[in-house]
Amino acid sequence: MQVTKAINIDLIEKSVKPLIYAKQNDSQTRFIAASLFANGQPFSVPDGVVAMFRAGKPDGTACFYDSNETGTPAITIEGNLVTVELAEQVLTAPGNVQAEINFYTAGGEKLTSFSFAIQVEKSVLTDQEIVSSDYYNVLTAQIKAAQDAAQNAQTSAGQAEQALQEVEQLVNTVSETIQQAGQDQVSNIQQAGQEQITAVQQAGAQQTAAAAAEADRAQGYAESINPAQFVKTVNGTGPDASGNVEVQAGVASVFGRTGEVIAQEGDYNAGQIEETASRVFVSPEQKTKIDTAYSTSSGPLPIENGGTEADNAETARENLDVPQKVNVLGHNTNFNYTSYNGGDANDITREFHEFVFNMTNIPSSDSGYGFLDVSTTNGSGFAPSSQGVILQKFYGYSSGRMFYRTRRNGTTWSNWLCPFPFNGTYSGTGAEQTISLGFQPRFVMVKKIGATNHWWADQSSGDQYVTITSTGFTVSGTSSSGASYSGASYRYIAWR
Amino acid sequence: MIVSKSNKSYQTMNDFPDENWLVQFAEQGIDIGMTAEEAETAFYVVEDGSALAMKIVSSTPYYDFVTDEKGNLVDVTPTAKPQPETSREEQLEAQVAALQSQVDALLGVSE
Repeated sequence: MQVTKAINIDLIEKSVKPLIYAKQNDSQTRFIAASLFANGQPFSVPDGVVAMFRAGKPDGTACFYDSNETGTPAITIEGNLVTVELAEQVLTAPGNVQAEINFYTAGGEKLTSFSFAIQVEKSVLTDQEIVSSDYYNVLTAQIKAAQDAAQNAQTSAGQAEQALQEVEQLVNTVSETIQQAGQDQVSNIQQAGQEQITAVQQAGAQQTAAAAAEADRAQGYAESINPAQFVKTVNGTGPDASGNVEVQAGVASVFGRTGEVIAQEGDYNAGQIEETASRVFVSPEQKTKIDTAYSTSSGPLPIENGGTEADNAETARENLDVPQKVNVLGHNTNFNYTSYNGGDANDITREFHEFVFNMTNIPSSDSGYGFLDVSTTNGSGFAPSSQGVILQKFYGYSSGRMFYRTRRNGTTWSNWLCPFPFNGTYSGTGAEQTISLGFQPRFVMVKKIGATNHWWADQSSGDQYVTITSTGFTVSGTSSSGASYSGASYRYIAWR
Repeated sequence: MIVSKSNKSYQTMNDFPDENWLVQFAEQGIDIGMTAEEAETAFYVVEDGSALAMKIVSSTPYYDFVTDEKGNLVDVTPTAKPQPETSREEQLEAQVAALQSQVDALLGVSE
């Protein structure tokens, strides 16, 4: 059973003081619902704020509480609405009770509403005498105690922090102490180790010196020993003053012979010895050729060095690099072969090959016949002998042909000869035309194919229609009997 | 064998059965009346003794060139040969022979 009186309280603007009517000695039934405003706007009480009810009674006593006589909270707060239960002591003294509400924060802030009045009407008949007294039932005291405890806790926390810092400082001090102690110990160990190394080195040096002295002493002792007192005889021979024993050493036999062995035929074969500058070996084939040349008058020239039956000047060129002396048909003959670049002449690159047989002691029956005697024209060639024929040949590399010339008895050479003349064909064009050979021919012959017409020319004269030029020859004659009749074919042969 | 592209004449030389020797001569500085490049383009080269060479010899200069897409000579096509002209000398000899026959007939000369 409860009755509630609603009032409005502005915490900023003071207005008409609210008046609340109550009956004396009512208990746990009368409540005040106070709506709080600030400048007319609802004022919501912040969380954590506690409210206290304070009242001054007409008889001079006072009340200050936030819970009723049974310990139940007497004040509740919801938004801007504060509900206060009027405790029995508030209504014990009839008359005008002045009241207010206090608000406290945890930080000690305090806000008080403007006061309002409670008009307590005297009971008609008092049930029992209730003595009016002060009424203090304040949870705020507990809050204060809690705040004090919190302050104490904060203080304790500060003290704990300080203690922690002191502990950390102590730990650091201990750590530095330990580290310094470790370094000192390491230094001590290193110093001790170095001292031990020094001691070992000194001991080693002393031992080395002692060993050297012992070695010197042992060497002196060894030198002082006379071997004669140890060695008696070796193969019946005693040591001399120096302790040496001369012993005869040697082999049992050489080639089955004992005693003083002298080399004799058959001791070595050709495979066990080497050639010398004046002594060389020949193969069985070479020996056969030499024997044949020496024993017959028709055998091959022995100018070979491992050659075959095809011995001739060309193989000699391949095989002979130095002059060789040979005996041809039993006559004393010098043979020499050289080759060299003859340079260019007449548009021909020449390579000379010189074969020289210098024959002496030729029997009268052979005089003037057949022996090859080849020389050159470079001024140092071998002079032709009265018995030989000089053959000088060279290769015309520009044409791929071989030319040669000869002379016999004297200094007059024959013309250069080419054993294989140039030849070819051409067709008449109905006009004069030039046949290019690449050189000036010495002699040209032209014949019309399928007819009897023919012409010739040399470097000084010739038949009609053919004329030698510096690079070939020209043909003319455009009639059917000419050398350039249109549609006719001709064959030519030219000597260089 | 070399074959002139201009007048269809030919030449052979035994040392060069399948080469254009004029090009080599020109490159060696021998005067052939033209440069090596000109000699290269002025002639076809045909191998001596080949069927084509024989055909050219028998037809020269009355034939047409047959070339492939690269311009190489691959064949020749013979054309009609003109009748051989009688030379003035032969004509006079024939006239002399005819006149001699008539004189002999008039004089009663028998062979």
